[in-house]
Amino acid sequence: MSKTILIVDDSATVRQQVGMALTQAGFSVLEAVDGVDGKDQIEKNDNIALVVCDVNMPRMNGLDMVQQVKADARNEGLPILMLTTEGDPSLITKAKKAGAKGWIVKPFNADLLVNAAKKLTAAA
Amino acid sequence: MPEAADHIFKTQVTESVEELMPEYGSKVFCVEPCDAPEPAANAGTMVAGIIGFTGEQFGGIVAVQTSPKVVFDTVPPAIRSRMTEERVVLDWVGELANQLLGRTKNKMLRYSASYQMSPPTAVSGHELNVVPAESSGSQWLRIATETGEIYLMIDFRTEGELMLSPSDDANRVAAAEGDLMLF
Repeated sequence: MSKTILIVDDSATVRQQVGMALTQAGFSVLEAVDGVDGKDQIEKNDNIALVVCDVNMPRMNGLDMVQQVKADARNEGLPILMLTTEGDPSLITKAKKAGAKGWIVKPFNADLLVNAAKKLTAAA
Repeated sequence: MPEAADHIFKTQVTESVEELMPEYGSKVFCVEPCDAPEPAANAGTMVAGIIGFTGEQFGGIVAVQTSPKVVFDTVPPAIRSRMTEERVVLDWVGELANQLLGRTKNKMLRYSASYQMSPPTAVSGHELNVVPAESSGSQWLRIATETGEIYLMIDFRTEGELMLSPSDDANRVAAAEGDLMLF
């Protein structure tokens, strides 16, 4: 049974790009349009193996979503990979402290993303 | 040597667009200052991706204005057929503005100048005319690309004159586009 990855990004095109790369690698995907939607999806679906999450989104940004999701002990083992235009070292540190497991700066390389997804879902 | 912040910002935006467009298959031939494009001269529908930014001492807006065809031709080919053309063009022009300003933000870190970005907004219309609230400080650039012309509006505002210098601080070096870090 394929592992499920949640893609959280306010751009439909980015969600499609990421989703295509991951489904071609054998994963199933779910989508969320912002941090609020992402948090809801995580609460409703206990079979999510990895979250790929943008940072700058309306309603709730990705870093706030990571903090709120990780505040729930049920999500302790859920890996979250940030996928964003941001390259600021202070934000990367903030994400790491909040519990994210990785950071990719857009535009992303599909092979790197897929390899990271395989590594993070294997460890989960 | 300190330089005016608006000049630095415009330079970084220019570099960013020269780097970003080829990532999506559109070579940039030249970038040059221009007057605001005349709305009535725009043939048919135009689209714009508009994104705001706010730093401690400065802020403003960047807008990417062009034809739907130019935007569509930069959408990753495998994605083009997955949504209606109108939807993918409006979504992608917003994402291009987002990636452009994000890339610029990473470059501005070298000058210890950071900002927060708003989520992008996309608009479309006939005789589209992107105008900032107070137009005196805005600048337009015309970008000639392989897929067509793009107009870039840069509205950069500071409190008084703001001068910036490059920083030697290693913590001010942004992660590069495409970089992957696992913790």
